[in-house]
Amino acid sequence: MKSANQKYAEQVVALIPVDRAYKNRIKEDIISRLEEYHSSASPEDLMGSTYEVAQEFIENIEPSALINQGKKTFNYTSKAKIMGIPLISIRVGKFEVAKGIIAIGNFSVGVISIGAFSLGIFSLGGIGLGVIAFGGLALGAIGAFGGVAAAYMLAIGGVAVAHNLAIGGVAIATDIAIGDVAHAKLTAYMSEYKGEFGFNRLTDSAQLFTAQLNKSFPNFPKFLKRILDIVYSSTTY
Amino acid sequence: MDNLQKQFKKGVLDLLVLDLLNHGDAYGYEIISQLDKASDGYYLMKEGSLYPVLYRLEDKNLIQNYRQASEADRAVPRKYYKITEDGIQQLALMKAEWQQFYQITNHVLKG
Repeated sequence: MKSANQKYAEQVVALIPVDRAYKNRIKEDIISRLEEYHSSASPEDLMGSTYEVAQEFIENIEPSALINQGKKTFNYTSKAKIMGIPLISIRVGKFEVAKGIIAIGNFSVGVISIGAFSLGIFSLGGIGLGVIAFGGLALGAIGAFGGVAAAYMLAIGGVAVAHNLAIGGVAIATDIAIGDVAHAKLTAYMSEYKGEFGFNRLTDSAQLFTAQLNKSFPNFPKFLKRILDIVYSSTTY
Repeated sequence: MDNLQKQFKKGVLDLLVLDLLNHGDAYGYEIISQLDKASDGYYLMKEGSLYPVLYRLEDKNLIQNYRQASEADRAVPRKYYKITEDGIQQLALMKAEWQQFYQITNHVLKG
């Protein structure tokens, strides 16, 4: 069972942002110091509150020994590399950029990139920028999926903006938009549309929409047509 | 003023602790007591001020610690500190530096 001195020392070191070895050093010395008092009084009465003692240490410890002032960090770079680029790079908690084939961090750049701000072929982030991007704000060349999504070919999101196909609550596209509010040359809408052709998804049949699609966009990318089929078949519109 | 005093004290603590250990090995509390006594309370230090100094000096190999059992009722043996050869050399340099600092600063202040 831990003594009161041990518990006190542990509470003090828990407040000091240093590595484990340094913490052990402090803990040991606090316990040793408390024993010097030869008193049955509580550690707080003898040395002060854990917060005060910890602050005193923090003020005097070499800044280089302090770990990011309490922020937790995790860094990892794999030894394995592809064309000189680490296979995996992780930089979490520091203002550093993770760069790797698979990159994970606050800021990440990679083929598969995951981060608060991510840039990559496949990018997933609070703000994601990539060939295919997922995120709160997603900007993609081929596809973007997120709260606000913008892409050249396909955007799906609360607000979706695209050249070819936008699907979302508010969908805006040059070619085709599907949404509650849809703006495009060809639209399938619920509440409102703006464009050359508007099909109400409650009253107009999918066949009518598809016929117009084939007429207006005979060379529309096949994979986007397939997505349109899925959207129609998976909803009750 | 408190902050200024703190900064001045911080600047000379390494020197004072090294000098004290040059006169004999001591454990943490002993160092605190001796500094307090020798300075009539001016250098009354808390543990949070002393131990980081000791760790820093240890990491620079200027002092070393060793354990020595004392009272039977202690859970851990006392940790004593002693000055190393590097520490003795460094202390001489620091003392010379301090003398120069003291004399020149005083000279400027009087001028």
